[in-house]
Amino acid sequence: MRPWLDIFRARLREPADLAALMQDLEPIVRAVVEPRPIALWAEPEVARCWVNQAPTPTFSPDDPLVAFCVAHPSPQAAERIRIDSPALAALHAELLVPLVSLGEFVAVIAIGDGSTETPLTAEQISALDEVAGLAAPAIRAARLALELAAAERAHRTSAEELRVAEIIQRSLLPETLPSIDGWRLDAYYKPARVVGGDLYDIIPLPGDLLGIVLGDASDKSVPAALVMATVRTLLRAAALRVVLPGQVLARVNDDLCAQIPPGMFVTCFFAILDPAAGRLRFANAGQCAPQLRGPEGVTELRARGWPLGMLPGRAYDEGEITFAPGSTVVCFSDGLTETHSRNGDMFGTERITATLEAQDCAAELIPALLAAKDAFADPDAEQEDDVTLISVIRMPAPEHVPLESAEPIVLASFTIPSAPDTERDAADRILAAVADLPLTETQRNRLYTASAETVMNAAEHGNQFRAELPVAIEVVRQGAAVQVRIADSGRGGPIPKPATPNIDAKLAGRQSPRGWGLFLIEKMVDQVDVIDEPSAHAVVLTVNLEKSASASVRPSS
Amino acid sequence: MTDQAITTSVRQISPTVSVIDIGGSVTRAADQALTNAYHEASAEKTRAIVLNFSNLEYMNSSGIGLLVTLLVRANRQNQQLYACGLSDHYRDIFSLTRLDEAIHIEPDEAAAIAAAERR
Repeated sequence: MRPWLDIFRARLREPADLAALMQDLEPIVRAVVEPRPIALWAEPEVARCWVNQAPTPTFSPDDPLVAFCVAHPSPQAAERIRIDSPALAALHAELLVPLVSLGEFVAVIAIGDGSTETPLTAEQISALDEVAGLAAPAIRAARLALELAAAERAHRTSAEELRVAEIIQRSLLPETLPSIDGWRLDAYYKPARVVGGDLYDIIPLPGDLLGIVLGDASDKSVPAALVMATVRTLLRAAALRVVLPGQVLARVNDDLCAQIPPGMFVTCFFAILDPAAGRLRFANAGQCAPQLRGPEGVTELRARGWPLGMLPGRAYDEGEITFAPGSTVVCFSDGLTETHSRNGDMFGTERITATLEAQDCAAELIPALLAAKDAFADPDAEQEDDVTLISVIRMPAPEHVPLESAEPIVLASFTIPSAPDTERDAADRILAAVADLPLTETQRNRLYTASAETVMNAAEHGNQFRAELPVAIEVVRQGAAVQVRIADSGRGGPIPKPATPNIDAKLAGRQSPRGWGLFLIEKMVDQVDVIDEPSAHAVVLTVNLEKSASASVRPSS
Repeated sequence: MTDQAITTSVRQISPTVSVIDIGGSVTRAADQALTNAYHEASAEKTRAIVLNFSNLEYMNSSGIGLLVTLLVRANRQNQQLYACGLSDHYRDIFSLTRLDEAIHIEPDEAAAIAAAERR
């Protein structure tokens, strides 16, 4: 027996290998107690290393035998153990040899089945005790080493998984925000951990509309991020098919309920912006209500609705606001509102309102909110939750410059000969001079007609088609308007104002079929002024520039 | 230099309906061509004439005057005038001058001919 113990001791000096240890232990124990059957009762990790001769009951850490062994870590005659233990009863052993190390149960070896007539000798029991004393710590250490290796592997995999999930999640967030004339979109996203549960998205929609999403899954982890990726996809698909935000959320909710892991849900704010009309229509599935900072102060964008993924068949309220120029809507996740200060206060929505009210310039809202949050938060605490912010600003209108106070800018100045059929060339040149101004298509067509008619009158009536008397044309930008000044020599005297042309009168023969020129000129432009001077006669056509027209040119100041 | 001349062509669709295609510039200079086209389009049984403005580039106040003259002639012959192919700008001008109360505006040639046939 001693030689086996020496071999066993030698084995113990080698690096821990649970399977090898158990395989060395078995023949030693068997040799000590031959021909008795032996069995090992331990948790599966340990027990599977030893092929039991006798069947053993399933290990349960709650079985009273475990506690008994820890309390009595030396060989025990089974019949003397008075505990209510299913395992003890099932083992039918003669002797139990506990293996306990540092107060921790490692295993118990059950010796014999009561069929041997002679009892175990004191020497045998002593030998078993010695082996148990050597084996228990070694097995415990070997098992711990195995657990550590498994945990390290799991940790490495987990870090790998997180990295992949992070890459996937980042690729789903908008890379850049669209730029829309007259509007500014800003977003800020910072997850609490490597991978977060917040989602924001900006979805271009048909008709030059824009979908805006801010969502929050119910926990911060890889599964939550994957759920958010699903929500993003569902939202994009629904937003392309369904017109109203409340219906979009209802559809996404139904789809999500069918596939979300039980117990998870997603809060989500969804809005559709019509930049041309300056309107935002929105619905909300339990997300913090965004705030609108308008000219009159701050209001909340409220719309009721259940979080997504809880119950199918939900309906979602809708709301609508119109952006006055200079207004901003700010959406935020509860990572902002639930930021805690050192004494446990929450940032809350009132501080957001106060921060927005204190700002002048619409563009600084996100930095202002972040600064307020950082000033408020407990500096020693880790960021608790993902923080996502979106701001949508309708830029203020360019300053209106009153007509009289603006310096005129001459865009073109030229003359044309007073001859028939030169008015179209003149009109072409006048339109070329205003090409970069914010005029609508209708305004351009009308200015063309009015200019041509005016030039015709100047050439024919004002200058009597005399080649030596040119028509002088000047195109001037005057504040928020454009003026076309068409002058002749004044020889024709003031243009007689005929009766307003009337189609019925003309058809009835009471008026000449002609005489439409002045009528058209007056109808085609915003204002017609006549300047009568002795040596010149000028007609000034004024067209007011509209803000919604194309080509953005800042008025001169 | 933009093309200053009027172009016209006449098509007899049926004994009662004809079409005058009017293109290019309709100004004072178009007087004779328009008059000739009208006479060509106006047969004994003509009850309706469609003016197809699809190729119209420019019309000034003089041109409007010519259309009014055309209208007066057509009325004398108990012929209804229709117009199609007008751009938004000239549709606008027809409306401002109330020409569209006398000349029926149709969205396209087929609709104009159909309306003309019904007359």
